[in-house]
Amino acid sequence: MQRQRLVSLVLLVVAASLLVFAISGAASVNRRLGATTNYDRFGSNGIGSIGWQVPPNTVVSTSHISNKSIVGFIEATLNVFPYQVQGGTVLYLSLYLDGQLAAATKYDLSSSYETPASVIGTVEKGVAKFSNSMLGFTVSQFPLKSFPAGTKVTLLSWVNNPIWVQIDSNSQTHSYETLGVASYSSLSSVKPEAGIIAPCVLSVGFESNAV
Amino acid sequence: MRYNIRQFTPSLLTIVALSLLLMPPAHATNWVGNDDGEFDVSGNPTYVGLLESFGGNMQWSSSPPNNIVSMQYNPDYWTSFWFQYFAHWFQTVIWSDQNGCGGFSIQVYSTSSGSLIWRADQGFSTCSTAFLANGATWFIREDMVSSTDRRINDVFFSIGSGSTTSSFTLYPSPNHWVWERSNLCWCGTDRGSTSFTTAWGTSNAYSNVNVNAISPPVTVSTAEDSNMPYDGFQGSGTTTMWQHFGWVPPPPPPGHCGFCPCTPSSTAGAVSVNSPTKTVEPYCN
Repeated sequence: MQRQRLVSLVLLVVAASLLVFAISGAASVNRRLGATTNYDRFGSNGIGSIGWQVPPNTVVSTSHISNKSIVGFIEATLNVFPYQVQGGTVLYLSLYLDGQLAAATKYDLSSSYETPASVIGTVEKGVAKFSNSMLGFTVSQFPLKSFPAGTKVTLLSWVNNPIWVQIDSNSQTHSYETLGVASYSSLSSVKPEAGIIAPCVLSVGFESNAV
Repeated sequence: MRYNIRQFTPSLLTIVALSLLLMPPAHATNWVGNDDGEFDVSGNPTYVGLLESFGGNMQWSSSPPNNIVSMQYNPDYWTSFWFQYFAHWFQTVIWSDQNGCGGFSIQVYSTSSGSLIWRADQGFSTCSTAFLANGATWFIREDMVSSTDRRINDVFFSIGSGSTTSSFTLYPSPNHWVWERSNLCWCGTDRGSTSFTTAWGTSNAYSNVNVNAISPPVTVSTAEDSNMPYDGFQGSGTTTMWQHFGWVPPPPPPGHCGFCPCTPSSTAGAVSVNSPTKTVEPYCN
């Protein structure tokens, strides 16, 4: 009798699991995933071929105000031209929401890339035009509690060797630079406008969930 | 209460029958639209890519809602459900409108809720109708952290034709997501289905390790679809496996070259891809 009861229970569990599996499978057909072209982006649009050579050991702060609520996640992208990147180059990115640290990441850059960018024309005052190849370095936080429209989102970047970063010539904001920072660690809070106004505005795009 | 297996049997059979009815339909032999065969790899890859080479122009009569088409590199639904970081679905996409304006995208969704978890996008640096013409190449390669770590470190995107190329390498952060067996979809966008009128080309799935063909999955993951037909895979079990997509263009009139530049070395039906950086020979008549 004990054995029969055990067999019955096992069968019941198996059958119930099968039912749950089938229901979830059927439901998945109705909530298929897919590629959407509708997304919520603010800050720079990432289009452009002009780069500025960010000096080594420099912290650059770039902020934008969200025009919608930030829901689900926040992602920031800094575009770099793969041009004359020195071996051993380290790039730190830190993301702040209203001055409070949300996420940070570190990248070890390579000295060679499959599709290196090349300078078109001449370099003037540390600014140049490049061919169509870029690297997009991101830093992001998810899941994320909602932040209202009007939240100031800041990306801090630091690099130990000079790199060419895409700039946004149409931006209404400024980037701020602090020179001579020999080493970097993310602070829990920052003042986004610390430092001096940088010669160029870095192209920094932010994305969140489009709701 | 007395447990009796005979009393349970009708109930169990009912549950099993109900489960079978609820199971999603199988898509084992369609090879069209979003129902393409999958590619998996043997061992630990450092990269797995898709290179699409156009042997004819790509045109479509409709692609609602935005008249945009996409090349989707889609991971298997159930493999993602069971093995991906938090059951996420890590999709990479190139999309374009009829003017050759478009973008590169990584989109991560929850397989359990269907909600968007994360995404990052980059527009083409230039628009060109050549991106939809004979000779165009569309290219997505997912690079792993190392040969012993299947987490995706970066995704290399490129679209080009002749001297016009737009390339972008996107580094997702955090890089929790691992590579899973995947398939290609020439699809619409935004839950739409594309009606292609002309298209022809070769799709190469390649890696530094052997790539293996798998029949179309039981559960189609993406909401987008199209009428794009695919051949079966060739070269399964090697580092480059390929299939044709679209419809063979009509033969050229007598005395004219076909739909691609013919050279003395061109061979009917020959496609040669040895590595992602090497040139794909055109598929010529």
